[in-house]
Amino acid sequence: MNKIHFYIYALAFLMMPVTSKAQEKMSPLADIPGFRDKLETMSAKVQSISSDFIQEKNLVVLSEKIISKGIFLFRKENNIRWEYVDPYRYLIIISNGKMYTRDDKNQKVFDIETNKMFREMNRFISGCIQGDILKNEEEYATEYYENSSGYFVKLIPRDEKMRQMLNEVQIWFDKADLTVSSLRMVESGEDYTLITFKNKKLNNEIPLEKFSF
Amino acid sequence: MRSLLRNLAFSSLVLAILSSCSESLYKGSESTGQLTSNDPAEHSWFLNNTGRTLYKCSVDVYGNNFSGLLFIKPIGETHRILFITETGLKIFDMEFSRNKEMKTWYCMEALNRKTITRTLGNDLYLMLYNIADNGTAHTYTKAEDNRVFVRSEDIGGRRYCFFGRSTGKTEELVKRGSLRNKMAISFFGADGPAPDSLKLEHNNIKLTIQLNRIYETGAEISE
Repeated sequence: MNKIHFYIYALAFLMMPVTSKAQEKMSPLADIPGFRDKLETMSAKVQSISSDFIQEKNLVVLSEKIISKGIFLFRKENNIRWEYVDPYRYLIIISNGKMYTRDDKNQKVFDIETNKMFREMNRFISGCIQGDILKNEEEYATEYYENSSGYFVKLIPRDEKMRQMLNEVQIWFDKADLTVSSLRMVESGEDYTLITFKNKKLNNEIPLEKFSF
Repeated sequence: MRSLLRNLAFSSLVLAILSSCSESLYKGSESTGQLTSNDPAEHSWFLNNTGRTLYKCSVDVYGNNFSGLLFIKPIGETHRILFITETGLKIFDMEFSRNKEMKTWYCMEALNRKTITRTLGNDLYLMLYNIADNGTAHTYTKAEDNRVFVRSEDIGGRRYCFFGRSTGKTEELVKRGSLRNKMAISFFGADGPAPDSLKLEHNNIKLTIQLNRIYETGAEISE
């Protein structure tokens, strides 16, 4: 697995929980360490997340959108299920040091532990779920904003090769529970993918079988 | 001198064999005349399609499998084709026109090699436009199964385009070199605005592309 594959799969998981307040005016966040502390405290309390999601791929130049829907599940430690159900079926599971993907015809299993790229990717994904990604200032330049209902963080990859694919990642956090409310990945050429999470539930019982393959 | 003549004779023999191989394909076909300028649009699935089409795409290349979504949209006289991952990341964005002009608007660095983009571009061009638009094509009725096909000259060989009896749309497209088929595209579907599925196979490289149409619900969301 090369670096590009790592980015593709990693980006698929950068996406977390949801409700965008993008239209409200944002102002720069004054207390960034305070926000990070609160996020860390919240992450420690969250044992599981389940949510519906809507993915909206915006092809800006063509004025077209491709919309897909699915179900997201997370259970500590490091069990992730990302399942597209409409209008196509595609499943990604990360669990027990392995990553599994399946569509109508093919299924694949990758060993995270024995592959440096997958190890990095797993670290990246976990960082997003736990909020550690915001501490990764070596790889991302970050900007913080807030309004009455949420926090908004903009991450700009420092690596030029990654920036050729992805100009920036924008994450909205819900102020009420500090979970990620939506996420936008902006590509070169202004096309972007917006993920919105709905019917989010924290700390409900998710059977481990959901993460087996 | 004798050696030169021998080589010349051998070369002529090889050329004659290659030529006859190409000519003898679909032997027994009966010519039914030259294409009119409207024929390509009549037979191609995509030339008359004014709407967008989305396919689930599976690519097998030298033992590796990649999957994603293929998005096709006509824009005026051109077609735009984008390949993205299921998770939304853009892999490539190409624009095609019937006069074989091709523009790559974006290609992920890992795939951005001339041989790859050229092969992909040629394949997608054939998928879109099927019949050579150069006025040299002739229609034939194939003897054994009475299928109508169009034969046209192509770079390094010929192109054979077979039509479905009921739909009149392209059913199979075969690109043939001097000795054997180089690649083939099979189109499956009833008489709709786009084929339900397609299978594209190369003979000289291990590359197969399978497309299955995605029927979108048209759901909208607000930010």
